[in-house]
Parts: sequence; structure tokens; C-alpha cells
Amino acid sequence: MISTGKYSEFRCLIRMDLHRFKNAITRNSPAVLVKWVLVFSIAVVFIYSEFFLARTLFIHILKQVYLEELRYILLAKLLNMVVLVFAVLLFYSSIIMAISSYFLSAEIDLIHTKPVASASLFAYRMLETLIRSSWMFIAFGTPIFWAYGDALAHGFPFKWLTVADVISVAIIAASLGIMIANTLILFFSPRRAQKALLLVGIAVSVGMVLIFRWMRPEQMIDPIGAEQLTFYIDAMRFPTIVWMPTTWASEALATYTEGAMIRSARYIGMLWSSALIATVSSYWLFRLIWFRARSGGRGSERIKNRRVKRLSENRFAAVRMGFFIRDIKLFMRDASQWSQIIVIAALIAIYIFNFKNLPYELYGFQYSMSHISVAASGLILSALLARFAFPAVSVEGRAVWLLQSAPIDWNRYLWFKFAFHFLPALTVGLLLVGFSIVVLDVPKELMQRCLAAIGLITFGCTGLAVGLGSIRPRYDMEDPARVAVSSGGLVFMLLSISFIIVMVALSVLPDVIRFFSLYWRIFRYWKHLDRGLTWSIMVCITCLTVMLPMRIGIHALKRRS
Amino acid sequence: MLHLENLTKRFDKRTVVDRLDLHVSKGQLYGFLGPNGAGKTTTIKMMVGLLRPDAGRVTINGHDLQTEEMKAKQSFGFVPDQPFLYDRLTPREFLHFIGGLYRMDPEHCDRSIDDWLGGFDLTGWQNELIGSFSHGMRQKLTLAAAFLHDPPVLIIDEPMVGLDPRGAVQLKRILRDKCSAGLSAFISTHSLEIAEQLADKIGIIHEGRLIAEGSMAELRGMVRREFQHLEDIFLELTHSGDLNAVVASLKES
Repeated sequence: MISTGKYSEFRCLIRMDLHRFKNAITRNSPAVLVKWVLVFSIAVVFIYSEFFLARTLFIHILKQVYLEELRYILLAKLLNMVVLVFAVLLFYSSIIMAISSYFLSAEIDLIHTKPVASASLFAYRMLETLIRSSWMFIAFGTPIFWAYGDALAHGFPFKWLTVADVISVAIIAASLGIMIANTLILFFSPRRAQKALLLVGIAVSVGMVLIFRWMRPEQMIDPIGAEQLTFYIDAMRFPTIVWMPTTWASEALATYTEGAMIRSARYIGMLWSSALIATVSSYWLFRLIWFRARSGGRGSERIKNRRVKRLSENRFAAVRMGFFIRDIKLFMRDASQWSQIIVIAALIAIYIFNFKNLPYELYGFQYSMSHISVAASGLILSALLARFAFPAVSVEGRAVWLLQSAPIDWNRYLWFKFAFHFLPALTVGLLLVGFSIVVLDVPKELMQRCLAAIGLITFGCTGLAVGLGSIRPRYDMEDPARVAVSSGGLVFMLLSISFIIVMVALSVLPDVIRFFSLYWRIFRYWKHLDRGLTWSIMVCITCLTVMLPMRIGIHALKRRS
Repeated sequence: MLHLENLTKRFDKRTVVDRLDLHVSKGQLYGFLGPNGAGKTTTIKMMVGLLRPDAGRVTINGHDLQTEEMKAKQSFGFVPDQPFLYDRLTPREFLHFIGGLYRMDPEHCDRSIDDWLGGFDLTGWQNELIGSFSHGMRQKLTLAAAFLHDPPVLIIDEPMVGLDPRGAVQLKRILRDKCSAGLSAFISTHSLEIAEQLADKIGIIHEGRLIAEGSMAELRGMVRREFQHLEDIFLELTHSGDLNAVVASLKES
């Protein structure tokens, strides 16, 4: 029972959230509990694999680089890059979540009409923003930092240091997100909040590209001559942007592993004092402008109907392409959708920039990089599909009753959703891999294999996304971005990453066996493993990956209607 | 008890509520009427602190909503037109949460919860999740939450939404009893019947302005003699006279 007398409103709000959480666990059917246990188990396996892979990579770097000082610098640089990537994504996610928590949430009206002090309201919504925007960063970022400590033989104190490090970065990002969200809404009004995200998307994208160019990750694998070594170490030694909290976060960990405890403690102190200042500043800004921003203009939005309208007036087109026209219109009118496309475009730009700067002259580089490009493009696609194809059914939202009460062929409906997302995804996939293989100048046969591989991966991942997303659609979630980071979205990401790994591994398997058969006898028995066989297996796996979730999804939709 | 003074709200260049003056005395039930888009919900949002007025002020139980926000909010219960409820809480847990926000004494809160769950026939559902409730049950729970801390002022946006006839009768009786005991109620509604039956005073808002205010007898005095029902008075005052012709022709056909 929620106690009511002595507790402040903040405690009351938190207790209510805990009650909701408890009821969600104890009052659901066993099938839902099994789903959660499954999701949790998959996540644990994935996080452990991530830890293991990161640890292997760090140990590999330690073994490969013989200069004591250089290897630490290389590791620190790598760490700084990981922190920066996570922090930028965290920052962007914090702005989206802050707009949602402070302005768009239906709950805010209920709380705001009650005698709740502004400090309690701020703290409650900040906690929500913090948790929703950073749980993924904490869950998937911390294992990488722990792997770093593990590779350098640091135990429990380092792990606690990492937790303090990660949480302080998350608080700073959330506070900045809240400040930016409040300022944006002051100018845009709550109803047009999503349009504000477009600006944020562009700003974050430009920032990401610039920061990555400042960091110059290609330096880490550039072959260097002895005369360049001093210059190289000088360039690598110092953090690129010394005033950024992300630099302090990575330096706190790096200096600890070097035994410089006081410097590490100083960085942690800087991080936590920044977190405190950021929190107080965001509260101050909240008090100053939140209510004014919330009470801003709510004018209706005029929509210009041009070609799409004319197309819908054609009766044949309207019948055949009804869903297509509707989905295109909804997409074009929702600025939050394109803003996130801009962020993804920035990721692609970073990928292309860095790909162009790789040292192609190294032995075996072209071959391995062409396959790595397939895997990397697959990962970008899977992020895209998680954001757009996975919530494809959930975006029907509260209007789903329209479909459920209409004579809809759910089979055609879901396959339409599949086609709607497959074609753009395939275009992006082919462009990414096509660019990579043109830059790498690989033989024609390898080029064909890479393009075929990305085609199959796109096909499989789209089916997985649309199918899984339709099994338990979240019609109650107004923001598709939230659907993408729900438990189902997490399962999709984990499964699609596993699918991509299997597909890339199968595509290189015959070549790997041929290569090792030159050195180890055991592989000679397998060296005639035909490419045809592995490609047949790949096609079968892809078809299974598409058909199984799609069929389950169609069945689930039919059952619901 | 409830006083609006020169209340004004503009969105972009459009004035949605224009210099609204309104007073609800102790024990009075005020019916607030107006066509769609007249500014009713915006007025209510300013009254409960969800929107900041561009000009004017709201005083509830003697407390200015802007300068004494906590005291003013402590003084009213509010039922919005589209209430938000936590689907994963039970009614009892939800009401405990609401009681906590009003800093009610736990024992008093428990007693009040029992009373209001009983008053709205929800006792048998008190341990079910709200997510499984019908529209009408959700409305009853929202009403129970508004009455829970025994506020001197009640503000309701569309009171009868989703209620079955029994629920509607229960609510009317509760409102009458409470107003007799000193509650000041402000009810915004589209149901002219409810306003005619319950309200001591009726205000009609049109294009953001209060165009008429008074008891039924006073309103009748403002229009032509043949208009006796509130429906006719409303249509006449909001310049929807052409609707009368439409209704008449429909009746004839």
C-alpha cells in the first residue's frame, strides 16, 4: 500500500512507479513473464559476449603494440572514442526523452493539477528522462569499460569507478537534454515539439561528424615510420577536446589504469561537480521557463497537399495504394521521423569518412574490409529498421480500431509493411556496401558476393523487424522511438545482430577453410566445402528469418482483430 | 470561492479566451456552456494551473493560483475531459497515490477511499487493474479521486462522459448533496439537460467571451419570449439560429 502521510510528493511518485512495476510483474500472465525472462537472458548473454569481445580486442592491442607508452595511449584513445559515441547518442536521446517527459506525457497534466512542488515535479521527470535515455548506454557501455579494466588486470575498485563514471555522464547528458528541451519548446510550442527535434537532429549530426573528424580514428591503424613516431605519440597523447566531460570520463578510467589515482579522482570529481551544476542549472531553467513553454502557442498546423493528394484522388491509386499514400503522408508530416533519419545519415557519413581514410595497401585488407563493410552496413540497417520497421504496426496507435473493424486482409497488410520498409532499406544497404567495395577496388566476384550478402541481410532483417514488431504491437506508445527501445525492440536488435554475424561468417567460411587447409591438416577434409552449399544455407536461414516472424505476426494480428 | 478576473489567453495571434470575469460562490453549482471551440477547455486549463494566462488571474478559496499555487491547488478537485489513469495500478493504489499528493493523513485517506469506492460502486473492483476498466468505470474513479480530499471547490470538464444512467443519477445526487454542504462546483458540459437540471447559475461562452450569465430565469429574460428551454436559449445566444431550422425540418421529415 502506498503510504500517504509523512512522505513528500517525490517519494509518493516514486512509490507509485514501483507499484506499477510490481503489478506489471506479478499481475501479468505467465507468457508475459516468460517473455521477460527470455529477454533478460538474451540481454545477459549479449552483454557477456560484448564484454568478452571487447576484452579480447583490448588484450589484442596490448599484445600487438610493443611500446609501453604507446599501447596505453592507443587504449585511452579507443576508450575516449567509445565514451564519445555513447555520450553523443545519450545526449540526443536525452533531448527526445525530456520533451516527452516534460511536455508530451499525459501523466504530466494529472500531476501538475495536484499540489506538487516544482522541485518534486522536476526531480520525478528528470529521473524518468535519465532512466529512459541512459539505460541502454549503461547496460551496453559499462561492459566495454569493465573489459578495459579487466584487460589491464584491474579488479572491483575499477568496476565501481566505472559505475560512478557512467552515471555522472548520464546525469550531465540528461540535465543538458532537459535544458535544451525546455528552451526549444519555448520557441516551438508543445504541439510542434517534434519539429524542434529536426533542428536537434541536424545539430547533433553535424556535431557527431565534426567530433569524429577531430578524433581522427584512422590514426590508430595508420602504418607509421620511425621518424613519425614522436609526432604520432604527441598527437595521440593529449585528449582532443580537454574541456568535454566525455574526455574526463575516459581519462578518469585511463589514468586509474596507469596508477595515477589522484588524477583519476580529480576527473571523477570534475564529472560529479559538473553533474551537480548541470542538474541545478536545469532545475533553475525549468522553474524559469517550463510553465511558460508549456503554455505556449497551440495553433493548428496547416498541411500543404500537393502531389500526394492528387494521387489519392485517383480512385485506382486510392484503392491499391491506400496504405502506401497514408504511410507516406504520416511520415512526411512527422518531423521527428526525418530528424532521426538525419542522425542516421550522420552515422553513415561518419562511416564513409572513416572508410575513405583506411590504409588499403595492407596485406589482406581489401578482402577482410569488404566483409567487414557488409557487417557494418548490416548493423546500420538493423538500427534503421529497429527505428522505422519494428514500430511499423505500432504506429497505427489508437487509430488501430479503424483497421481492426474494417475488412482488412492482415496477410497483405503485413507484407505491404514489409515491402514499404524493405525497398528503402535495400537501397541504403546496396549504396553503403557499393561505396565500400568501389573504394576498396575489389575483384568483381567478391563484389557480387558482398552485394548478394547485404541483399539477403536486408531481406532477413526487414522480415525480422516487421514480423517481431507485429507480434505485440504497442498501440499505447505515441512515440515510435520508444517502441524501438522497448523489450521487443531489444530482442529484435539482438536477433538481427546474431543473424548478421551468422550470415557474414557463412559467407567467408569457405575461404577461411581454404586458407587454413594450407597450414592445418584437419581443414583439408573441409576445403571442398562448396560456396554453393554455404550460400544455399544462407538463403534458407534468410527465408526462415523472414517467414517465421512474419507468419507469427500475421497470426497475432488476425487473433487481435 | 472561485473567482476569474479578466482572464485572457492567446495562441499565436488568436484570442481564445477574452477578458473572462466569472464568480462561483460557496455552495453554488455553476454550469459552463459553449459551442465547440468556444474556449471552455482552455478556460478550465487556466483555472487548474495547466496553462498560464496571458492576462488576468484565478483565485480559488481565496488563494491566487499564480502566487499561492500550492494552497490554491490544495483547494480544488479536478476531473478533466480525457483523464489520465495509470493502467497498471488498482483503484485503491491510485487513490492512495492521489491522497499522498494531497498529503492526506493515512487513516483519513483510507476511510475516504472506502467511502468513495463504495459511493461509485467500485468496491468490488478495488483490487483489479485500472487497465481492465470500461470508460464509465474510469470516469467514476476519476470522480472519486477528485472528491477524495474533500476539496471546497470542484472543477469538472464533462461530468457524465461514459456514465451509465445509474452512475449519472449517483453523480447528480452527490453533487447536489455536496453543494448543499458548501461545495462550489464548476461544471463545463455540452449537456444542456445537465446544466438545466443542476446548475444554480449558467454561463455561456462564445468565441472566448462570456456572452450570458445567470440563473435559468435570468437567461430566459435575455432572449425572445418563445424560448423557454436552455437548448433554445443556447442556440439563440450563440447565433446558431439556423440550427433551429435544421432541427425543425428533421423533425418534420
